[in-house]
Amino acid sequence: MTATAANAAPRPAGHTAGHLDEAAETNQPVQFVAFKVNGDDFAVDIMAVREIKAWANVSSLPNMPSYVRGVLNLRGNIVPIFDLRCRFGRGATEATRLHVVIILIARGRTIGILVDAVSDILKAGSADLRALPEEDGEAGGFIAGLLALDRRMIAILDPDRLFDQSLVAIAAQAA
Amino acid sequence: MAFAPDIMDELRATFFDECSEYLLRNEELLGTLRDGARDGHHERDTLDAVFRIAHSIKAGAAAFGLTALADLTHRMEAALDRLRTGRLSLTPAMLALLLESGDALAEQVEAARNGTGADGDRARSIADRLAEAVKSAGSAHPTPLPTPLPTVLPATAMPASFPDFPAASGEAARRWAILFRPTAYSGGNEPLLIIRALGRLGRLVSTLDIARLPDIEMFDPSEPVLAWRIELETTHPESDIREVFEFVEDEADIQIAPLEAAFPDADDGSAEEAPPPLPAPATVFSAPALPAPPPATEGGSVIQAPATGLPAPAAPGGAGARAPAPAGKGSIRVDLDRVDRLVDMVGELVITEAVLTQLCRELDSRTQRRMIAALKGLSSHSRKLQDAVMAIRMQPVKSIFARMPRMVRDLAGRLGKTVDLRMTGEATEVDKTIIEELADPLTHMIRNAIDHGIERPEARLAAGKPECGVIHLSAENKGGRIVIRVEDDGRGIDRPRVLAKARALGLVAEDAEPSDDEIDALLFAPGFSTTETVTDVSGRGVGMDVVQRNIQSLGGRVTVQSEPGAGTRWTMTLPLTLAVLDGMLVRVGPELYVIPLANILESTRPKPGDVHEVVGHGTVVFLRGDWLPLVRMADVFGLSGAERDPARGIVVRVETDTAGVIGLVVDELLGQQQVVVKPIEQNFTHVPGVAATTILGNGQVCLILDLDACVAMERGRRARDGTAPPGIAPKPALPSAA
Repeated sequence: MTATAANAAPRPAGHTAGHLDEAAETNQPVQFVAFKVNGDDFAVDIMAVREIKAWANVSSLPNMPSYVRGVLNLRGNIVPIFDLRCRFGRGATEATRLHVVIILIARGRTIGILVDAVSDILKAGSADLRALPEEDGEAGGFIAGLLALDRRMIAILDPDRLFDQSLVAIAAQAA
Repeated sequence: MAFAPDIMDELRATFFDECSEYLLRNEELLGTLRDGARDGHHERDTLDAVFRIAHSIKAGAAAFGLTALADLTHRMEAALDRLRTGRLSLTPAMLALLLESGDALAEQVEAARNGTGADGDRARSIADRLAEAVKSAGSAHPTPLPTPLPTVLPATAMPASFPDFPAASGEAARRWAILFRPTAYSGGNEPLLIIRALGRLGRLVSTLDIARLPDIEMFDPSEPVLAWRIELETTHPESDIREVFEFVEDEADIQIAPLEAAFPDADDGSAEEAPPPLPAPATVFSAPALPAPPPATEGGSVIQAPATGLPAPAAPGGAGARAPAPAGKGSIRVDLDRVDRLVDMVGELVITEAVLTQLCRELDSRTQRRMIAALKGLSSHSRKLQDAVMAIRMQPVKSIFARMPRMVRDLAGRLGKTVDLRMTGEATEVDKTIIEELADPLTHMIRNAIDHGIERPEARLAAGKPECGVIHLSAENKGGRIVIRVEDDGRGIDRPRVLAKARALGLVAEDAEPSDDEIDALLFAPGFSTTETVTDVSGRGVGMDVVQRNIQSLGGRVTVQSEPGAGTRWTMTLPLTLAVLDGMLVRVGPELYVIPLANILESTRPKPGDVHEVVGHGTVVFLRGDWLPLVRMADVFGLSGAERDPARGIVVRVETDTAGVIGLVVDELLGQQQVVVKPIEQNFTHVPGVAATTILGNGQVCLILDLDACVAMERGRRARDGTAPPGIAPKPALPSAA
């Protein structure tokens, strides 16, 4: 792990946005895990990532939105898995062993996101961070910002907001 | 004291833990006092024990700056001291005041623990009444306040001068020769504090005996070598002197003897100038130097610790000093989180073992045989480990039972009834989480027994029963579960009245003729109460249905049996732990679920002719002469590919809390097994119809069904779809016998 990550380590998990803000202020480079969903590039703050594992069958949960794929046994912890492609309204992922689950910390809980592949570890300074141009419909709610690197635009996922909004949607459906 | 803040926090936490134990013990002791007041023996020992409790809490409270708590305990201590020395008699009013102080104390402790301000008025008023009682004792016997308030100060900050002689009372002063030789300093006792406390009793001359002081090369700083010879002139009785030493008696040689012969009472003035002829300081204290020991009024000259079983309380002067561990079996205080982590890890181990067993099947036969033998060993060890770890969380039900006598006493008194509470099986152990959930249901049941069960004394005598009603509270282990019974010898359930009330409430149809068991079960119906007047005791009709719900949420059951005129028996059966659950693994389409075994009555495959679609009521099956409403799990969870025909699947007859007995349609029963319960809310959110999750042998997560929620979901679904009106049970009016 680089010095950046080590410095940030003592901060409690689940404060990704704060971490980014801080990075913007101090101009310290921040590391991201980049991944692909349906051909698009996304990234998530490496501090929120706990591990990356290959897709394995999950146990489905009844009467949940289709983007809740089910729960996974992660060394005895019951971890919910969110299908990001489905969350973006592009239909459920036809998951194979080549698909990847990124285990994240969101709001202090352990969750997993199902993505197509992990593509890179990126290092970005505050100069590379861009605010969202405007609210971007479906995905805008849990995208914290954009990363402009190598003439690519990469959306930064905010795990906390992803988790919050999913719970709100589930509660609304149950009611 | 220069303790780091976190150490102080830790000490505080320990203090509060100890307070809880002390308070429980206090309650128990006061109960003993009340019961023992009749036969009168051991009263002194019990009062001594209560006194030490008050004192221990006071010492800690003062150390942590909890002045309200310290003040209240100080008053209690003063009153208790009068009581144990017989200067105040233990009247029922006094006992009530002590019980009340215990309550106020619990309040103060709780408030201090939470850091919230307690309602100081009650504590103050009790403290005032205690002070009043002490004062009344003082006027009857002209003895000045003897109770020293131990000052909490580190030894180094101790002023060297002694306080002034207290105001002389009418009694003649006596002289005492005292030898005080500490045998251990590990308890944190400070001899100076003791001598200072003695100084408050009267005029004192103290001489240090350094006879045992070894040469410097032999010197062991941890080995006490010093002794003090003290000559004390005081109007206080010997018991007051002994009291000063009360908390060091285990850690010191103490000899107290009167010096009457040498200094008769008449020799009043000269005593001030001439110190008594104590042996030369540098000589070894020998027997002739002291007059003969006093007549054995209170045992020998070395004070024996009363055998109360209570840990020796913290030393008066040692602010942070902890009481030494109780003699006999050693025990340690462990944070519950640590135990939980251990329980979790053992759960993982059991799962891993199941995974290994599964993998073993894929091996070639030669390796497999050896693997199976090895796995059998692992299995036996992990089972034993699981039992051992679960045993750590087990606690005797005594901690809950101990609260009951007090409640029975108060309640019976208020209702003008006499009730004798008998308890058996207090040592029966159950998981800590269950213990915590037991208090409310048990309180409800006992209140019910006193209020509704036990008759007034006149009525009892008229019915040819003894005047005093008996409630028997018992606990026992039975088949991996704990059975708790509350039995009374009262009037029993008044079935005609219950039935009339149920009809009036619309719980039973006018023409229905329910059986006795069914009538008894009505007591668990929500909102049911037969009491005409709502008292603050019971009769709000929120009693037994809440009890039943609480017990069922723990995976238990409540039943009631009653015989008119002879009494009522409530029986609760509960699992011993919440961390594991006995379940039935079932398959519904592609999914596996666990149904808690506690809910399952039987399972059956009905004949095709017995299954009927009833318009407006969904599917029912004719079983044992009755219509059983069916719920298809596939419908509840919206699963495709599941068997819809009950005659080709399996109907599991389950008992639910809110919907009575229903038949759950599943595809297949896969077998019974013990599962480790994992909450789903930890990383996700509540999922309707799912009570929790577990991990199967193959590592797959499996959902444990919440049957009540499943039935409610099915009703909601049918109401929305318009296929049936809400309320599918054909007999919602009559819950079957629990």
